[in-house]
Amino acid sequence: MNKEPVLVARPALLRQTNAQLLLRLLRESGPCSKADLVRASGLSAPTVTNVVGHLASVGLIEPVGEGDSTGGRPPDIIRFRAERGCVAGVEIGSDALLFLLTNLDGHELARANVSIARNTSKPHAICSQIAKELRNLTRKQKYAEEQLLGVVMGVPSIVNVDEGTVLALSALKSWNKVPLGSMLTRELKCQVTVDNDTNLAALGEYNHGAAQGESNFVFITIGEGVGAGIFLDGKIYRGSQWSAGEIGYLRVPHIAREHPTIREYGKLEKILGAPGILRSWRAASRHSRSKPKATRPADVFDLAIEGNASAKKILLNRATILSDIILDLALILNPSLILLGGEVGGNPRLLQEVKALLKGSEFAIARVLPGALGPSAVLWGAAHLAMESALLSLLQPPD
Amino acid sequence: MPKNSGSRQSNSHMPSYVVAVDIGGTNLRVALANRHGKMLAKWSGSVGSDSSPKAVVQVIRGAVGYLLTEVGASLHSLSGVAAGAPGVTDRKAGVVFATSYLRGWKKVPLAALLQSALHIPAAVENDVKLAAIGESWLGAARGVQNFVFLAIGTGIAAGVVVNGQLLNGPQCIAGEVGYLIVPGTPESPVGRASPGSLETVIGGEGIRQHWRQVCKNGRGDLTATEIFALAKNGDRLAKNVLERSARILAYAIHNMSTVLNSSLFVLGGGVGTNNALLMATRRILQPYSQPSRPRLIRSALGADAQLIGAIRLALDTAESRAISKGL
Repeated sequence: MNKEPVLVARPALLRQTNAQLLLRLLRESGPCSKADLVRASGLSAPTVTNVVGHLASVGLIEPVGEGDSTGGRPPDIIRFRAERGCVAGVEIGSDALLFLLTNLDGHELARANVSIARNTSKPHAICSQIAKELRNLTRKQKYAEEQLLGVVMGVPSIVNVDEGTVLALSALKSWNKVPLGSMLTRELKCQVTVDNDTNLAALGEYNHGAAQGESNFVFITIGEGVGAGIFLDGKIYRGSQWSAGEIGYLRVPHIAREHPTIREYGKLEKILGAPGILRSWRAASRHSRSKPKATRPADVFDLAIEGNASAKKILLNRATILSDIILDLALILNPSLILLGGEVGGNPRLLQEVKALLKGSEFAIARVLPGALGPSAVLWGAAHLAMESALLSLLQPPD
Repeated sequence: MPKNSGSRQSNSHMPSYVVAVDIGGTNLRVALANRHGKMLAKWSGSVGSDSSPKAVVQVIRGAVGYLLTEVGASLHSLSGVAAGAPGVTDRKAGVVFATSYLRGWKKVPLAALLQSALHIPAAVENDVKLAAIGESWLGAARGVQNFVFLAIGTGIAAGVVVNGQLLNGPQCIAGEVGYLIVPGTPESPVGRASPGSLETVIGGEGIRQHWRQVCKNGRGDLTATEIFALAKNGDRLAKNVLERSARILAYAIHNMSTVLNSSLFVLGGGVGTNNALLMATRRILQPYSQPSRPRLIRSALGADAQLIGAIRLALDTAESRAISKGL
């Protein structure tokens, strides 16, 4: 088993650690004096002076004049320059590109939603579109191009995060082992990270949403597709080949029962996802005299609550499958929290039904809650990661 | 020279030993190992008619005395003890929550009991997790960051290792996959099969029961191992039982692998180490290559996996106590 590594601090590494600490304190407290930082950090005054100097030299902090005197020289107040640069989270959806631009303090500057035209679904075309939109957004916010310090992209695919390679993207054709990270880096000349979208959504909920303070949780998303982001020990868990949490490939007992034609694994999405629910509804209402309208899964679930028998059957079936999945996760991972998101996963009727089914379990299954960030979870997770990476690279000690 | 009776060594020229304990449902094994983890002496016995925690600890105490005599060492030379228990265990708290194998065991503060009895730092852990530690240290999973040790015997449970660390979970139930719900017979038509838990379906007893059901002419009560041996020899009914077991095992491994993306599954336990079962399961998993397929191998340490894991835990426990005391 691994033992904790003993950290040997080189001076530059130590300075970076101290710089991260002071930055965090400054961001949390707002503008304050060096003396305040000495008190809050526990570092010595000369060390703080040294680090503050370094932070100023990379443009991350600046003096804002003098504060109130408490009986000596009035203290110099310093502030964090969140406007030093900007970062972006990007989400590649099934037919649209979503963007979130924030400053270095994680505050939203701009958003955008751009459709993917049918004939521009090839990797290079998507890349160019992303780069173009980012330059647009950056410029509109009055930032210079080189002030876009980092981009993190969420894609509905298994991603080799180290290499920035998208391994398989079912929604968009001809995406197989695409080096999306390096392609975009070449266009934008800044740091680009690519990750699976559900992993980023979990990160978003961890930093800003319903999973704050939870070191072991799973975020399940059910929309067009099905996926899970797994957080263990306070970090995204990816597995040995980047595909941990690809729950679309799970086989669950109640599928065989109700959907005998679904024999192949990997087809859980076909039943649980939005298109599958509507397909079931259309099949069920084909022979009924009254055909209540349902264009989205939420409509079907509403009809179920209103008493429609076919809709009830569909809701119960999907809730049963989802609780099977949650039980699997509980016994394998024992997370303390399960978050549900996506157009289908985040539906309150489904959540209610799932909770009722899990109540009868002999285990204390995790709490099951809806995600707090809704459809923005991926973007917020991506933007947060971009911000942290950008700050880290600004503080990078010279090799 | 006054004897420093309170000191527990760490002195490099004094021999030091650790104690490893493997508590089963009826069997009890205790081993003595040196500071390098080399097993020097082993004792095997049974839990006895009184399976209460205090009684079991007494038996362990006796076994330790016997082993110390064998190697010619004193109680003072012991630096730590670790015990594996057949149930949900909280290592941090040193408590065995529950085990269906030992009567009267509920929220047992086993670490404290061992510490009192032997006067050395003590740690306890779930036995399957200890086996995972053993395989990771000296066995089939050396150097593997993400793997699962799946024990299939009377019961079924897993030790899950992610990023080189054992996965616990806040309720310490990570890996309790014996309770996974599986279809009774996955390929049967809708409605006929009712789901059961993995343990009741392919645990040792579940396989025997299924054999008794399908075998109408009273061919006797066979163990899973015997049934699989018959299958290897061509017996049609036995082959069906083997195939069914392999199919369900493959199902469970596929699901675990889908969630964890582990690169390796190490199978242990009386049923898990059966070669015929392993080969059939591998064959069934063959087409399940998405998103990735883990390697499936047998435990390298066999019945000693838990004990070896306990040695490792005992060494770590002794070391961290030494470090915290500034020795």
